[in-house]
Amino acid sequence: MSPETTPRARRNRKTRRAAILGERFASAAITAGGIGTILAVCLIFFFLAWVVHPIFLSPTVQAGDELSGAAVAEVDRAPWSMGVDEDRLLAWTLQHDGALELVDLATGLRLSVQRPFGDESPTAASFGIGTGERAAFGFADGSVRVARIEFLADFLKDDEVSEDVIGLEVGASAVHEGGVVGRTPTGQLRLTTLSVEVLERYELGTDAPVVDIDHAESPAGFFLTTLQEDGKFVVARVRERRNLMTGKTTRSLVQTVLRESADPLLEAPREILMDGLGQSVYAVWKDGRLEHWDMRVFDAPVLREELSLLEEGELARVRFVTGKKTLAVADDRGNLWTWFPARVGGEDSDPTLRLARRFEPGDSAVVALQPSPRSRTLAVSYASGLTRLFQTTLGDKLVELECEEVLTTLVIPPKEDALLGRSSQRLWTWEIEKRYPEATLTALFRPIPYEGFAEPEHFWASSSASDDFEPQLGLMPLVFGTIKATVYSMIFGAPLAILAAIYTSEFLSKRLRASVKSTVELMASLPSVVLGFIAALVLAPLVQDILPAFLSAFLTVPFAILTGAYLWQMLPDHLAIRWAGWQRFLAIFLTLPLGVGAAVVVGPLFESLLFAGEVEGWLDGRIGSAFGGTFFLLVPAAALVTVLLMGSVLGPRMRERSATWTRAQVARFESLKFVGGTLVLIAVAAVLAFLLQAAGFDPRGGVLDTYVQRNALIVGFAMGFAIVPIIYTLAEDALSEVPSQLREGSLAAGATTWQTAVRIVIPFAMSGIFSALMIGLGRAVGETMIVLMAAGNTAIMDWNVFNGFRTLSANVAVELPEAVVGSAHYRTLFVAALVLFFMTFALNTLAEMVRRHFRGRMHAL
Amino acid sequence: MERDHALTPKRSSDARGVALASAMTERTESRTPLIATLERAETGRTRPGGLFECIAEGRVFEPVIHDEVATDEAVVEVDGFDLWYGDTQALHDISLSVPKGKVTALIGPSGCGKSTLLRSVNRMNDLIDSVRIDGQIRLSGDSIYGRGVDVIELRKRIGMVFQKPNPFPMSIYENVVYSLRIDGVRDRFTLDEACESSLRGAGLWDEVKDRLQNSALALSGGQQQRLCIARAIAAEPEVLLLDEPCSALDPIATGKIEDLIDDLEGLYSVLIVTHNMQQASRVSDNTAFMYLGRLVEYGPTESLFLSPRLKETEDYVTGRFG
Ligand SMILES: Nc1ncnc2c1ncn2[C@@H]1O[C@H](COP(=O)(O)OP(=O)(O)O)[C@@H](O)[C@H]1O
Ligand SMILES: [Mg+2]
Repeated sequence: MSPETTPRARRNRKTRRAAILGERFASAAITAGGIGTILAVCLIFFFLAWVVHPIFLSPTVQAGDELSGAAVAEVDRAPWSMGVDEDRLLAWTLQHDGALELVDLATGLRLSVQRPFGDESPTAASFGIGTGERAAFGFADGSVRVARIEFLADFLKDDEVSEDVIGLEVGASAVHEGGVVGRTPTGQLRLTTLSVEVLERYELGTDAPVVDIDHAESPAGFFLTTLQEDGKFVVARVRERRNLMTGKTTRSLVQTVLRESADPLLEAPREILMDGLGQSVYAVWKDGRLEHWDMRVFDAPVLREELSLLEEGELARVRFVTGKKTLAVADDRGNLWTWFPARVGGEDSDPTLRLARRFEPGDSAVVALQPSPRSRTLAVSYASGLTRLFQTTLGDKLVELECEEVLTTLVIPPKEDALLGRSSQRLWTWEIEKRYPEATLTALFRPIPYEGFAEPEHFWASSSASDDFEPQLGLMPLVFGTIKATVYSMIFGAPLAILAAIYTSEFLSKRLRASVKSTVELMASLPSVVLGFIAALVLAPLVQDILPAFLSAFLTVPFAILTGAYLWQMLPDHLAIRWAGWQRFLAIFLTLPLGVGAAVVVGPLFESLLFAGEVEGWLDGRIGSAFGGTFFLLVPAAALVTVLLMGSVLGPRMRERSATWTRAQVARFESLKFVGGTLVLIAVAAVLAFLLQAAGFDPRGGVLDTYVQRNALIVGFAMGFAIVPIIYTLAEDALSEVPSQLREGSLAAGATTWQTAVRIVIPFAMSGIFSALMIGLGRAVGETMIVLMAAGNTAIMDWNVFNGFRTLSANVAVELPEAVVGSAHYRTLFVAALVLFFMTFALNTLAEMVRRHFRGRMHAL
Repeated sequence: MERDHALTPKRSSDARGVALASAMTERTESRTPLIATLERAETGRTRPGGLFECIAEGRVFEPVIHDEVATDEAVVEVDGFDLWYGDTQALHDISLSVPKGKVTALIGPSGCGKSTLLRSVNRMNDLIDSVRIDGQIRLSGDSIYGRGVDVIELRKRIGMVFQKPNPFPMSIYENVVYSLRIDGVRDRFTLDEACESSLRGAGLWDEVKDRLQNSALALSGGQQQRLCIARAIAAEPEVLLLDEPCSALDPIATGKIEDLIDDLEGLYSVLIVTHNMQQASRVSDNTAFMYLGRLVEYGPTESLFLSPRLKETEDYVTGRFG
């Protein structure tokens, strides 16, 4: 700065520096803010993606550990079964001769051998799939014994054990008092022991040896089914009642005989099986023939069907997968299928078996099938030593192993972190990381033949009280619910908001406009939880009570408003002009209660005329013909047709003639036209409805169906409250931004306000109106509280206005707090969040593109 | 660019404009003294400080209306018209008649109420909530502000072109036939014919005939303004109101519009607001000079420019103030 500079110049320069600083600071702040926002959005996206990504990883296996020597006694027949505890410290093996061996898996040492049935050896055995379930054994004398073989865990204090046990490191284990002690990651000493209890003994049939047995534990009782050597095939149900006073359990056994004796011409069945509910009993022959006994009425069993499970070849193994509903069937050529009962012939038909999945065939006969106790995972070993894990819901092969020996017995431990296989000499262990095989992209987005479904379907049912439940993680019903919520809300909200915006910006004076606008904006301040609460607890029951009147209001309110408008036209000129101010406004307001009142009056009339006297019954499909509902639905379309017809037929003819008429004459003619049009409309709708009915069309089953109290209509209404203010405000802004010289130009050319609005203002404001709609749509898509409270949250895919739905957002809100962190369910919920993210992102992008397109059309030229 | 008018000018506007302009530069000193005019205008009262001050103080005076303008058949008659924006009076007791088939110019410094008067004729002021009026305006004898007048019908009889070109965001064709469209005309032939004749009338036909379906917004400013004129004359109005139609245009476009207005003379009655003296002198038959919401002098353009009765008018038309 030169000393000669005048003070004024210097001052100027200083100011400028401050301004530059301010400018720099502002632009830095704005840049930081902008980048920060983008970064935050990206971070959220990456976080979601990070949580989700493990479901795309495939399972891994680590090379097998083999355990040989004393641990595995050489036996000529494969053992009945084998079990492993959840820490994989101990394994029990029930040998074919009835000896129960306990082996320390760390050392391979046999810790104990016991004979729970004394000298007897079972001739048949059935084991539960889940941990802690009972097992049933049949004996040569025809008796049946129930036993429970399970691992028990107990925590030990340091002073209860010996020195070398105290010194155990985390993860290490030592033998202790017939069991094994291990130190858990939390530092506790945990003792795992085997508990064997032989429970009840039953005599079911004859005294011939039991050749096969199965059992089921269901809420209806404990079920047993046995097949004896002489062909006697019985099912028994044991009801256990515990006396609360004495603590004693009394058992009552009833039985049903399916076959008294063997058919001398026929071979005996290879296996008999009973489903987990004790409702179906299957007998399977070597050639794949299956008899399906329906035991739903226990005393009156029905041979529901006979079918062949195999294409060619012989039955190798048949077993239930977890849940004991789906049968896994394997043949001696390495083929594997699953079958389950489903009501193939419709809701009311009896369940019959249907082929669910065909799995990748193996290279040789199937030797063993073993379901996982926890999930729909099935271990399969083949005669060549090949062993695979399959996901049975989806039919995916998870893991494939090669073993040099044939594995005759397989075990999936409770934590599903390994696969154990036993050959005649050795015990093999493979460490497996299974990950999330039930949550593949196919499972999430494709229809799946879930257990019990007649057809592959999109279905969401993520959790249940029981362990053996099949998770159904189809996200499509939730996406559908989101779309349904959005569509119905927009149907109610969007026209209202846009018309209101047009009305205020084009027809109201500036002063009124400001107050109306701020009032509507006040609506936006209602918390959505309040809206949802009111919708669910006040509106929903109310609407159900006054359903006929409510539905009628959709017709009577527009009719009342139109009637009011025509009557207004009939006013003498001087009155019409003098009353163009608040009086007209008041008149418009008055038509509303009139319309509602009319709805209350005609509601019951509609109900008896169109809906056979009871709307809900009609919707249910129980009563009435299709005509009424079709007529009701056709009214808007018929109105449109009538207006167009009148416009194109009557309009040009009357234009010339009416040129000389006075205003009053025109008004009278128009009112006549309105009355006539209404009659025409009714006629058109009635004729169309009649024709459609004759053609067999029934709206029930489509957009109209059984009424559920919390439904899309209610949500549409409540959500309308949430989206109307947003759409209204933005659309109003867009309309007000239309240059006034365009409006004036149109008005000066003699256009009415409405013509100006439709022809000039709205097209010009289109980009703004469109983005208003899109932002409203975005709000509706992401809205959670209202749908959570008012939508009923049933994940069904059904356009019925009177039924509920479950949206992605409500689903995440409901289930995330309960989901086990890191589980497939948890990660699937994050996929749902990601899908929602993509939906809103795509919507916004689309909105921006269309907006630019409109804007470009308006301005770029 | 060659002009191709459907209408032939009655006389060369250029020649007249030049003649007037040169006459104005050789200013004659022999003017009617102000006091004399005032005395004639207002019975015997003297106004120290001049007419403008007198108007500014809100004192009553009688505008000077040349006898020639009173004889023509009037299309628009303004009769004792007052207009208020809220509490501010913008027009004071205006009485003037716009002769049929002629071009009448409204001149005056900006803010004197020219636009307000013009917008009163087609009741565009109704759009402003605070406007209040008193007095009468008649269009071909029909009262405009009478009870029971349908504003929409009234506006259909009047064409208006605004200061800034305001083509609608639609095709050229649709712009021109807009008034027919809103009347519900669907007949293609009628529409095509109206479009062509209006565009020819506005001297735009040759420039746009090959791109009628293109957006009107793609036209240049001058073309847009002529399109607006075409749009206005497509409705075959009884009177055409032009509010400073050239103020947003460059000189060449201005020239074209001026030529066009000249051509419209005789076919349409035109009321044009301008504050460009040259323009007023070139295009109009009659000129009204307004000041602070009052009509000051109204007469044939030639006499108003060459021999104004009032010194104030002379001062204004010669550009000594304003
Ligand atoms: N909408 C309005 N509200 C209030 N005052 C207005 C409005 N329009 C114009 N005026 C006032 O009326 C007077 C005349 O304006 P105007 O007719 O536009 O003048 P001109 O067109 O001659 O320049 C001015 O003082 C102006 O401020
Ligand atoms: Mg102006």
